[in-house]
Amino acid sequence: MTEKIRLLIVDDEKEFLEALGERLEMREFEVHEATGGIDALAACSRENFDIALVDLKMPGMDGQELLIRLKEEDRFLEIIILTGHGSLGSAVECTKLGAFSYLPKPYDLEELLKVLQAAYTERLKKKFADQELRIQEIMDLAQGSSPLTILRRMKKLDQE
Amino acid sequence: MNRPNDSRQSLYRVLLRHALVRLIFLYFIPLLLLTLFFHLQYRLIVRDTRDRHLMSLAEHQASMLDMFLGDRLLNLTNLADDPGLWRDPDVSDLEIRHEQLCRASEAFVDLSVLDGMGRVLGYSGPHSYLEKEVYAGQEWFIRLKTGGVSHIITDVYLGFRGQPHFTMALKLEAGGGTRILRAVLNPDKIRAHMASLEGAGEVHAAIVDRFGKVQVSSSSVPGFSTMGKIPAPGSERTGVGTFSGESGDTVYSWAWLSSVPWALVAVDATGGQGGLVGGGRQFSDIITNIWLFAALFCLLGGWVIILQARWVAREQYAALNKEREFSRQLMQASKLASVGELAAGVAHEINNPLAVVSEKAGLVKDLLDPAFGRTPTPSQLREHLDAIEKAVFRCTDITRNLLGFVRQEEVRLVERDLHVLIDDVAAGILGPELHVDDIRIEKEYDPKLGFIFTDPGQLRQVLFNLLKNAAEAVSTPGKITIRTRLNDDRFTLDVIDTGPGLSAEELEKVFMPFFTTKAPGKGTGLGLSVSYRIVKGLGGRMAVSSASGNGTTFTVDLPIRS
Repeated sequence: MTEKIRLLIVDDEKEFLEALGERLEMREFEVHEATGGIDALAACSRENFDIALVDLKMPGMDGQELLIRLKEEDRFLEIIILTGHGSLGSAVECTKLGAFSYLPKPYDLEELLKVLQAAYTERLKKKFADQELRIQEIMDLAQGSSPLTILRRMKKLDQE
Repeated sequence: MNRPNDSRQSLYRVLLRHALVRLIFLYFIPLLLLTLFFHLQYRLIVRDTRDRHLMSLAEHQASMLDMFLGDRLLNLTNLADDPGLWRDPDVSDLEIRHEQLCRASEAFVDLSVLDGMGRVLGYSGPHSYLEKEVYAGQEWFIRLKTGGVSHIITDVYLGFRGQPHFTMALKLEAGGGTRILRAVLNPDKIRAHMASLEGAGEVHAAIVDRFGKVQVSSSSVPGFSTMGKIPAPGSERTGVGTFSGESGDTVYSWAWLSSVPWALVAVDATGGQGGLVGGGRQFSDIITNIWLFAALFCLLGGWVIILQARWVAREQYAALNKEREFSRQLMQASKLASVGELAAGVAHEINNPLAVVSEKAGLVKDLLDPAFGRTPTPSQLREHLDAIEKAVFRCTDITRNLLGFVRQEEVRLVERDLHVLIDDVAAGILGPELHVDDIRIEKEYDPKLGFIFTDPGQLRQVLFNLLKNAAEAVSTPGKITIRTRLNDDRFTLDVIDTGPGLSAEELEKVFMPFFTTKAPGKGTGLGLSVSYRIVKGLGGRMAVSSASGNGTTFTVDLPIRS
């Protein structure tokens, strides 16, 4: 079974959320829809997502705050900011805060797919880099340990 | 096009009138008063100088007359040195004495010797019938005999001879009893003497007794001639007074003589007010010159003032126009700036429904794409197309509101429901923004308030600015209260926010153009100042009150019919 890429979409515009969700599902994504920041955070704590698409302007908790809280929840989660606001300032700020990218609404779906692909690649890179680092760490720590101990530790890491 | 031109003309006229009045009050009237003051002062000085001159002339003449009378008395006293004259006055001897006297002064008319009873002992003179007269009952005789005086000079009287004359008499106590040496003097000679005195040409002079009866006059001024009467001079040794005659008030000066209870009265003989100063002719010339100069000055001053007033009015008018132009430009600029500010917000509001359109359209295409193998039912497709249509209408709403905001410069009064107008602004253009910012709008509408006559476009702009300002002031989540109240033919509209409020310093500047509490680039600082101008233009007032940390209230007070 091919593992689907898991997406979290957050937008207060319900019609938009549903349409986008359905189109992405048709393209073999696993999509979870949330209409607000609280919903999104709750979903994120329940399950793992690869990428989150977050609207910048939302009542209650805005995109920027949600971005920070999601990153706290899952540091490997790549976040793409969607906004109808045409200003570059907020986009720059969001990327500074750790968003992978920023996409002005309305957009071409092909474009979104490209960004999604890039984001996922980035996620994998980071994850693998992190894992390589940890393997190296374990190897270093295990200097002098028995080969069996090292294997056990590595298995544990893989399970994580 | 005629009306603004007319109003401009009348504005210029008002400015001109104000400038004229101001200049006249500032320069012309004080100058005129000053001129009048100096004129009066000058007249006073002239009068004072004339009076002094008149007085000194009277004093001089009086002392000269004193001297004259003293001399005559001396002439008489010299005769008394001859004792023979007393004992038995010989007529021929008396005649010689008389001749001596006449040689000394032509004023002497006759000479007689009287005894203590007033009987004539001897007489020399033209009126020989007087030899038989007895003077015992006459006033001067009684005074001389009983009073402690050795000589007497009488007032002028007609006496037995029926001609004006006066008497000089000496009392001598000889061995044989009292003898009185009496000489009669002709007042005409005194007149002649007076005419020869210094300054005689400048005045009409007269000698009066203490009752004001004229004794001798140097000329024949009406009511001033010999034996006439003028008001009695004052008791001071010398002074100035006026008496009313046929030709108005006449100024006179007097000086008392010391040898007789007579006063010399002098009246200006040259005519005119200050004749004694520089001649009447010259004085009236000066007055004419002054008036001529004053008239010329008024003419010139008036001309200058009119020119000046016109200049000032023109300058003010130009400045006013400039200010209006500036104000107009400011309005325009602020409108553009507001539009710019709006554009960003509007872009967001339009892009969101556009994104819906794009996604829904994409979804429909996907559903119809055989590659995905879906077979959508028509109702499913219709659902998505309805969503597209709804999103498009949302966009239309926004663009229409935007146009309503930017439109029209001229004030256009129409009847509108105030509350609908407020709802439009709050829900329409600002609605989504307020919604996403979690700002609640609380409406406290006065049910008595309904339709108003106003310019909806301009009022909409004011409402938009106030609400936007309030929305930016409150921290989310927050609350904005819109309260309306009907007051007779006016209404007030309060926009109350729960923001941090403004300091006293900020309150003072809040309506000033380009004042903003926001970060640089975030606000133009024009919205409130423009709103203020609009409200003023609609015949209303706009006020702000705030307690630091306790929100801000903007109050708009407008007439029901702008």
